[in-house]
Amino acid sequence: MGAKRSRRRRVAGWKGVRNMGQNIERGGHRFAVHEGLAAPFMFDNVSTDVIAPALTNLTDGLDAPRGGLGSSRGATAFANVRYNADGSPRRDFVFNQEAYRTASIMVVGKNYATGSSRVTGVTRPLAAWGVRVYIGESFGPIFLTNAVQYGVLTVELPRETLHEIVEWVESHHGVRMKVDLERQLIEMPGRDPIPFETDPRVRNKLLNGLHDLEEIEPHLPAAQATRERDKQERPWVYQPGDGR
Amino acid sequence: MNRRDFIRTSVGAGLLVSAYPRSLFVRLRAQGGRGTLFDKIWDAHVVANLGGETDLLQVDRCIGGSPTQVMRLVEEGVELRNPEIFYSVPDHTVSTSPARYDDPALGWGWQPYEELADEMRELGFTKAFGQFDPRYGIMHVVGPETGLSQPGMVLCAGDSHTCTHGAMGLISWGGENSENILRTGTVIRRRPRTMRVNIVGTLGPGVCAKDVILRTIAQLGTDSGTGYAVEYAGPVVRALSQEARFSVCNLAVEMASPTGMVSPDDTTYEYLAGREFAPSARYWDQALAFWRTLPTDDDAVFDREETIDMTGVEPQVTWGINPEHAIGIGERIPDPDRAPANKRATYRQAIEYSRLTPGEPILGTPIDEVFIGSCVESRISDLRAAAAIVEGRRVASTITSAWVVPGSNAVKAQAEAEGLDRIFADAGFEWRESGCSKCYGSNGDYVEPGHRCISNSNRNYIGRQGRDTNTILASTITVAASAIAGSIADVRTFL
Repeated sequence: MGAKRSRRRRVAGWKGVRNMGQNIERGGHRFAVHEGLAAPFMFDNVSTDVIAPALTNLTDGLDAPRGGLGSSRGATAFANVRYNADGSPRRDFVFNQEAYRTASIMVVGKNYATGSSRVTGVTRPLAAWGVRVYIGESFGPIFLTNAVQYGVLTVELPRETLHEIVEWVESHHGVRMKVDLERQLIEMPGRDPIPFETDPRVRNKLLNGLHDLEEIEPHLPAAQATRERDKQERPWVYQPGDGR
Repeated sequence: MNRRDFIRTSVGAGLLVSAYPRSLFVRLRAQGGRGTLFDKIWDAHVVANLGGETDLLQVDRCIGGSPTQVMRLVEEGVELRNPEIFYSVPDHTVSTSPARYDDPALGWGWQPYEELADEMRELGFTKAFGQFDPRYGIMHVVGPETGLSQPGMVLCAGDSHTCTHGAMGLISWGGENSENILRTGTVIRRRPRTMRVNIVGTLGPGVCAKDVILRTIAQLGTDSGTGYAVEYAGPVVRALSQEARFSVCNLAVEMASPTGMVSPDDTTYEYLAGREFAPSARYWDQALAFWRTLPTDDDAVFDREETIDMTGVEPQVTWGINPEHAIGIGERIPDPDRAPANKRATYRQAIEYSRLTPGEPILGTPIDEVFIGSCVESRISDLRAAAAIVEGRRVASTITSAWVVPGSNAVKAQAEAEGLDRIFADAGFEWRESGCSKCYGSNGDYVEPGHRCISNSNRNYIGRQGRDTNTILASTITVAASAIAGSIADVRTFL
């Protein structure tokens, strides 16, 4: 207990902000160009409940193939839809197919990763297993913000373009696609590149691997001034709750 | 003094509004915003513009800063700003079994909790509510119930159903990293567009707030709110009780809007008055005068307006695998072949997963399990309404599990004081401890594989309540009626 108490004395200034580092746990990852295999997963409204089920222990003992979403940890992703009741892999599920086992780019439908936030359950592990790019019609609101933090690029394209990409992917098994954020282009050997647009702020953040905290830091004095003024204007917000 | 009386002492606050010279209020007006509740609150919280539509905002409340997280940051030597804006409740991870008070494996997992809580208090984090605390419960029940969520605030948390708090007349959203807020007290956010959903018409018998929002999502689509902050308005919403408004805002994220709101009014202020963290008598009039400036102006401009007419709408139930798959209790299960082309694939997947037969009536579909709880409807008024349905009746013998999980320890205590626990127990329900429970099985409470569960919660995605489980979403009273019938029931025949 004594040791625990002394910790609290060592409270220091803002160095913690700079100490954030670039580790996968906390985000702030660079993304410029990514080359890899793509997998089509053109369902709409795929929820985080489907991507990372709460009861991932249900997958205990399932035979885990290696590499990408087929890696031993990756095998828990989509557990409720990728295995049969007896634990055997469903052949019709994309990541169980040889051609897509090591995919690092997912081509998805509308409102992908809607639902719970599951930052630690969805965005981070999938990034750690290697999924760096999602190309889709639209994305769940929370997923979009999370993705940036983990150096994961989300590209929004119209349905017709997505179908063209899927067509290319299905006829080019084993051929790598290149997603270039600097030039905002998706390059697929044998066809014209597809341009895309990104929010300039998000693009800058990914290209430079900026963490939110680095973006906030210059504004900390202003934040503190706002807070002090607010404490005068809305004192009730800061009341301790004992009626004072 | 009871709540209503307390408000009355301040109702002369109309005068106070005009006499209120606070600069915050002046700022709101001076910026010539577009007059919506959302714009007024957002503008008042901007610390800096970060380019384009992205702002740095001050955060007034954050559900986060768990003892483990706070202690880790303290260890790293980080200065933690504004500990008073945080509260934390481990609602997802604590079991709702009565054994949780004795079995460490079912509890918070930090032993001894009391010691950590003491350390937290010394650091200024006075609001960490473990399962032993009378204020423990689901975070979205606890916030409003203790008065921590107040009109005009910006409130963030990690959990996606943080939109629930918007019913108090504040901006809230989930998916936020509380570590950044612990370090800076601010958050980076891109300003969403605004949408108003006007709920008009009249609610028929047995039709309540949950039916309103399920109908809204069925009409507009589960992705309709992408990029928007939604305000629910109109005569139907105005007439709803404060607790019913939480039910509406809770499902905002199910239409892909992280923020749902209702303009505050006397219903809101009366609900708030006298609660532990509500403004004390010393500041009440000042706070009330400020809150009265917040509701959306008559001439406000929204980026999008939608209208949902509730006249003639029946109690709603879902048949599929996302919340927009809601139909009236008297309707038939849709045929994927007749669905709009862009929805056909999802409809097929839904029919395959739910093992329902297209063209059959949804009414009478057998169910295996029943769940009443969750941040949608687990407050005292919801439990009273459910108890009124089941009183003197018995849960059907074919139901393998029927749970009632109060939203908080306070709700549980109140319900027991009113004898509701006896009514549920006599009817054959299991009366549990408070928490998230079977809505999302991360605390070990889940639906058995292969079972169909009718639930008053908010998500029916594949595997949400457990592997191979099929969730039917409905209002609390429809769930209660279905428990008695043993199949999806029309609550109107139970009234």
